[in-house]
Amino acid sequence: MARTRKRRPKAKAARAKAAPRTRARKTPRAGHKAAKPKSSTAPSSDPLDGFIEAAARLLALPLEPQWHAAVKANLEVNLRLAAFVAEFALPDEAEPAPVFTA
Amino acid sequence: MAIDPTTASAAEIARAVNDGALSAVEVIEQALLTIRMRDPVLNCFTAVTAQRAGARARAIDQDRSNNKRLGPLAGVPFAVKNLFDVEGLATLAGSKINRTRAPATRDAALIERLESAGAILVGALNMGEYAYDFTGENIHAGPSRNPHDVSRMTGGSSGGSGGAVAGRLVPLALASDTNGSIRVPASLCGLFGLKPTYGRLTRARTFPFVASLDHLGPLARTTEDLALAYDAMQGPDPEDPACAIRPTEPVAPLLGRGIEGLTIAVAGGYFRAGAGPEAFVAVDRVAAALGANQDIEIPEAARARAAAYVITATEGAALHLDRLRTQAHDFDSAVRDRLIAGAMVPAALVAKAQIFRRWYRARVLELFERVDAILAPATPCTAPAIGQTTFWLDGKELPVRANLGIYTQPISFIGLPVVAVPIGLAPLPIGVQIIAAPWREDVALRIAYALERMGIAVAPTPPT
Repeated sequence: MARTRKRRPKAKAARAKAAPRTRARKTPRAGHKAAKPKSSTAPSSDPLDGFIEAAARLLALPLEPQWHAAVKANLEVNLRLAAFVAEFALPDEAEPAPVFTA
Repeated sequence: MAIDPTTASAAEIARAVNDGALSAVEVIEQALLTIRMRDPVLNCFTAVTAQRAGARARAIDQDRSNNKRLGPLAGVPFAVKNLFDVEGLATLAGSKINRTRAPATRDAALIERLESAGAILVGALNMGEYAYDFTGENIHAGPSRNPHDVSRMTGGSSGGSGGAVAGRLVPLALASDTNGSIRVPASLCGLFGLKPTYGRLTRARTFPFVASLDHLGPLARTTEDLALAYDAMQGPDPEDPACAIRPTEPVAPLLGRGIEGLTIAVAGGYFRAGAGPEAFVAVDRVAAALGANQDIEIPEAARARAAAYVITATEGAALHLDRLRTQAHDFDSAVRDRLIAGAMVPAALVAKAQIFRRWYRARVLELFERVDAILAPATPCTAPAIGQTTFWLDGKELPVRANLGIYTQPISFIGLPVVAVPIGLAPLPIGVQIIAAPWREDVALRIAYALERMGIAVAPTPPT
């Protein structure tokens, strides 16, 4: 195995190493460029604004400036409700329900 | 003609076709005529499968003339929310984006099962985009309209299903319910709706929304019709990984057993706050008729609703992530912005919601050691006006689209079976949920049937 690996052409080895990253970059679709979020407003002191911009960029989601306020309003509701659930104390042993059965 | 197929129940139509008092062709011709006359106003149908329905009706009549035994739903016209695959049609799921999908090559499993029982598909129905909706409005196809007042919402996301049955276009429709999308239109349109136990009815060949919350079920104007349809659709299906490997348990023969021996309680706490008075009037009327004078607390229902909301937002976002990246402008903006926000929720918080879900399920199942059924409002109010974006609940102004399901979400969150029954308040109807333990659809349906026989739960006739 070691010999085989040594014989692999450098360029091919480099491509093999890079494969997972290449696949990740191809998401969502070949030829689709990750959207570069535009700054929707003047610099904001609310960290959620920066989070939304960063998350959109990382997830390759388009986020036009006029969408920002509605996305933010929805995310605020999501985070408020998620925090309400998360603050409910349960033991470390409590199991999630990834495959739900009634 | 012995009965009027436009006002008759599915059971009455099937009996008349079985007896030869009515031909399936007569039923279907009348149904198609009614759709042509009323749907331009109600806007429930997105496709009418007239040719297919006619062929199927002729085949049923031929079977009868050949003395073949007909099914329990022989000649019954029905329609399906347009997230069900219908052979030859693109499965829209209420979207513009899906219009470019290839036509389905095979019907959804539940359509096949209903047609095996003799029912006849007449079309596909309007719905909220990708089922992320409680209003029944659709920016691409226009809103479905409530037959009791066409300026008002049908409720969603199965708005076309609610409007088509309440408007007497069909006696039976299929719908989906992720967070309340069968029970909300049942409530606003004055219908009986069955959301079975999670995993009871196969979802094969339907467009999903939130896999761990998606249910399918029927809407009808009588309990008997719900039971007949439900019985025809039960049974395992390896093509839906969530569908339970469980034999068929027919409920129609059990309806007449009544409520004797059943312990029925009224949900308190969360379910007695945050609604208009009509919601509580309806629950109290049902409770009084059933002699249900025991209140019961469903623990942490508000948190359950919150967890369902978060899981919906995130699983829904995962489903549509690629479409958001490439076709964001083709979504309804209200749906798009919710989905984008859902994609941004940290995974750790979603895992917390799933952990809570199992805890909550265990606590609620303990309640069913003491009671057989629990009553709760189906919606916090009667049908809002089309276009209305907010309403006031408990002194707070809240978005209609996200909050019509505040009483349905904590129940479907753990997959419990529910029958929504209509209470004919003036000027508009409203629904009450009858909630039972998992796999006890029979209990909820028996109670609904008893209420119907008492004249308490009746699908009101809309103005013509």
